[in-house]
Amino acid sequence: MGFQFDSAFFVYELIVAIKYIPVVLLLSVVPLAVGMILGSAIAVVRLFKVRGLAQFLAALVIFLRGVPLLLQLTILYLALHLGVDAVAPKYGLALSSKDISYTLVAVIGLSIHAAVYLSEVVRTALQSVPSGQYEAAYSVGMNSREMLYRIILPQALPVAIPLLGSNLIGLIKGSAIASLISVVEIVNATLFEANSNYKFLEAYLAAALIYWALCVLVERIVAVLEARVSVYGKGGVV
Amino acid sequence: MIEIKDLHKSFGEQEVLKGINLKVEKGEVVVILGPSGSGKTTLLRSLNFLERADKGEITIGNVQVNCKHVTQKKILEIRRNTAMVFQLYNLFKNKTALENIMEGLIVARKMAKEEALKISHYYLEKVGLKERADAYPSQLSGGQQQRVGIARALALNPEVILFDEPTSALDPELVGEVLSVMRKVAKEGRTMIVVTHEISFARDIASRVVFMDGGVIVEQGRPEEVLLRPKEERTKKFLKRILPAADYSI
Repeated sequence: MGFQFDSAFFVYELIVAIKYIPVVLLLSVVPLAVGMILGSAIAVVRLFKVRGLAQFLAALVIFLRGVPLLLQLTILYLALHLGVDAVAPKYGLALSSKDISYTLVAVIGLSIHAAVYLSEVVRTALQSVPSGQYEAAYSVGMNSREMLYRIILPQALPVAIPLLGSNLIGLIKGSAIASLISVVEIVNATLFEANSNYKFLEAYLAAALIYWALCVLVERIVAVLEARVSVYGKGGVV
Repeated sequence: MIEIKDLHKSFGEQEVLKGINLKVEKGEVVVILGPSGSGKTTLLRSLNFLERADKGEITIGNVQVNCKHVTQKKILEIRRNTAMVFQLYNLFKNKTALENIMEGLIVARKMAKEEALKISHYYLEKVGLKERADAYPSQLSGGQQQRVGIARALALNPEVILFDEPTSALDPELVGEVLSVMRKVAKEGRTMIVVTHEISFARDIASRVVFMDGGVIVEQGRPEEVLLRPKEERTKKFLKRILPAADYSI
């Protein structure tokens, strides 16, 4: 009895996987956006060395980077469930842990995960802008907000784009971990179909192919953006 | 108009400014000379708070600041009374030559766009770069970038323009074009404080030469006095090293 690759089932699983692409996008693009906002705030605080807050955030970033995403999601999930059940009755809230959707937990967890990595991306990008640009902006009398918005961020963005692309790819792949806290996305959906006929290889390969396609799409978009944003031309080496 | 009282600045253990006292009147062109490490660049940068002095008083125009207790608001006020021309030009890389000049006017001086445009065109033409208005800094030579930098400073119409070794990073052929723009600026009666190694500029254009060494002002006076008849030993030693022997003996 040899192994027969069931192409029909493979194609069926591909279609199942494609149906759940929106969930993957929700679990990657939203955390990217939220992570950018939070991460930029963290980066600016650390760059301007805001007393106390900068050190606290630096420690938080180091801590959160050291914990695997899987554990971050499961701990967040359990903490929210136990927390809501313990606190809601005290305040007479109609909330119960059953009301917290798994997807919401995953989006929050992935957003925090993204914010941590993106704060480093933004910090690096801001530091890649030559200090002379900051000095010139200050010397014409701009305040920090005007300087960041008009001079620094436009020059930091081209540096950040390739890194943002890799982070998005990381989030797309990381979203697969949400399957372990019961979120219905590509891994769970394809797996579910294979549970009855045990054709797991076909199921996983189909899922993998769809993830791969999404990531290739992101890389193409990044390449286009990179070309379009390098208008100012650093005028030289690279 | 500009007064510096007992300015002190240390970087960690190293004291770089050991009590500087200096007065600059309107229309003066003050050239600061000195060996590297003398504190001349730190002094200049302290005037627009790119370095924060530890102690002392700085008065520029109608803004007076005590360096020990300075607020962000006061720093902005002082910066709006000054403009700086940098050794590495520091033009805003994401703005064209014209936009570079307009930037400070629109954002910091809160000027209307039309007025800023007119002023910027005027000063760009003044430094001889009218045709390069839409070029980005990466498309300009060093000399051209520096001339835009000078136009940017002029357009802000500050109490004083601070020049931090404006020609030190230029090829010798390009130094001339920048110096001639600076000469024009001086002849118009602008107040300038210039840190430079260009002795010819000091000799021909300065109204006063200040020689600094080891964090103090060693001597100062009219260019003929300091450059040709220096009184202090340290001044003589410095000038001997950088002036051709023939020039000095005159």
